[in-house]
Amino acid sequence: MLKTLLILASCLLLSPAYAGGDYLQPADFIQQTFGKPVPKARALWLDKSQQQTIKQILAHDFKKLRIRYWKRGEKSAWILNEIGKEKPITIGVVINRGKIQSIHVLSFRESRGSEIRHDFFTRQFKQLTLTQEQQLNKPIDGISGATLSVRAMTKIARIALYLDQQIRKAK
Amino acid sequence: MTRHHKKRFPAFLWHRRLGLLLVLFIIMLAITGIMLNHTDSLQLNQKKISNSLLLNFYDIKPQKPPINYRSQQHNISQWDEQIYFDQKKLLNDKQELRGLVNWQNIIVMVLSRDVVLLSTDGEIIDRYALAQNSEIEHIGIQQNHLIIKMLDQSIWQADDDILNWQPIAPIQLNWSAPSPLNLKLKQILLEKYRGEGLPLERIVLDIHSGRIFGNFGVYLMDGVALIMLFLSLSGAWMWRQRRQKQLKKKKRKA
Repeated sequence: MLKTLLILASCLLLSPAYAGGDYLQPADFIQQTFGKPVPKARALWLDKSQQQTIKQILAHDFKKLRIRYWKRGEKSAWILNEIGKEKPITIGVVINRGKIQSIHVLSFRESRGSEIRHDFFTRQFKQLTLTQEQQLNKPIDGISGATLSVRAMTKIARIALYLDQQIRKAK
Repeated sequence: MTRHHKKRFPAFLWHRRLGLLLVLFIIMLAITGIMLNHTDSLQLNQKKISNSLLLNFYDIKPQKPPINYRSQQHNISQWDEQIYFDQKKLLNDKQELRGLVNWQNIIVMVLSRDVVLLSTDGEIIDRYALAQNSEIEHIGIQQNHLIIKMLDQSIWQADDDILNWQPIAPIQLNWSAPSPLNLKLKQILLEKYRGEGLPLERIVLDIHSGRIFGNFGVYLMDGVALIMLFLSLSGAWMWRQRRQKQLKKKKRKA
């Protein structure tokens, strides 16, 4: 009994309050997506209307004038940040032929909500596309206690799909 | 009061001494208490105090000295986690500002992990993390190429669009170096860092509770409260004693 209590107490003491971390380096994410050799990064320069659309999706200000991406064939990869509650979450999204192929949390800096990195959650995004209203074509089931992180990941998925549309249009 | 009385009624003496001791505290508590009761009508929450001595006393000041880099006509400075482009707030980031250079028509600024491209108006063009295990130490320019030195001593050169970085052989360069902030800008940024000041309500509340002097103040006010409790009891007790004496005198006379 005493031993069990000691183990429980040590677990409580040792478990960190900070749930975040770096789960995947950007370079590894790009290499996993495209294999070797890794394509060179390109830039999409945003015009006013594209910036406006991104602002609408984010529901807050967006300041960048250009966004880096990687592309080979029909596949593009995007590394984007969005604030969960207080700190940015870095998310990598792979789009193939206008559909989400995969989505990964690269860095999570918030104290709560890191469950969004798990496969049981991210697989909901696979094969999703963007509607004309810039929404995902299927709803995403939330995770209780991680509402803001779920919202941030959904916004990033919508933006990546939108940006992929823009580079395909430009082609 | 005779000496005889002092010996007979020590409680009265202590009541008087402690009462005198508390005069200032009671005045202060009464005034701040009345102010707090009328916070809305006195607009205590809207009135801000930005006195630098008081803000220093509250420790509302940068923990570290500012880091400043100069780019032609602009200053980019970091005050703890706040990064300013001249007087405009640019970013809020824990990463340390490590340098900047003017390159063609833009400013390239490096934080400990990120590369930030800025227009000369201070607009963010792009920002991304340099995917290296080490932190960025310096940035410089060599033959119109942007060069970054990492803490692990590796050197990287950017392509023309500052999108991709390639490792190159070690070189010696005049790396971007910090420069001192002029006093006027320093003062303006210090005020910006501190925000609009402290609400008067907070200061009055802290005076009332003693928190303005930290834990010592709280214990002091606890002591004052206990003495006030003693005074109320000793006052009531002395009143009762006197009343009984007066009644006895009346009985004797009768």
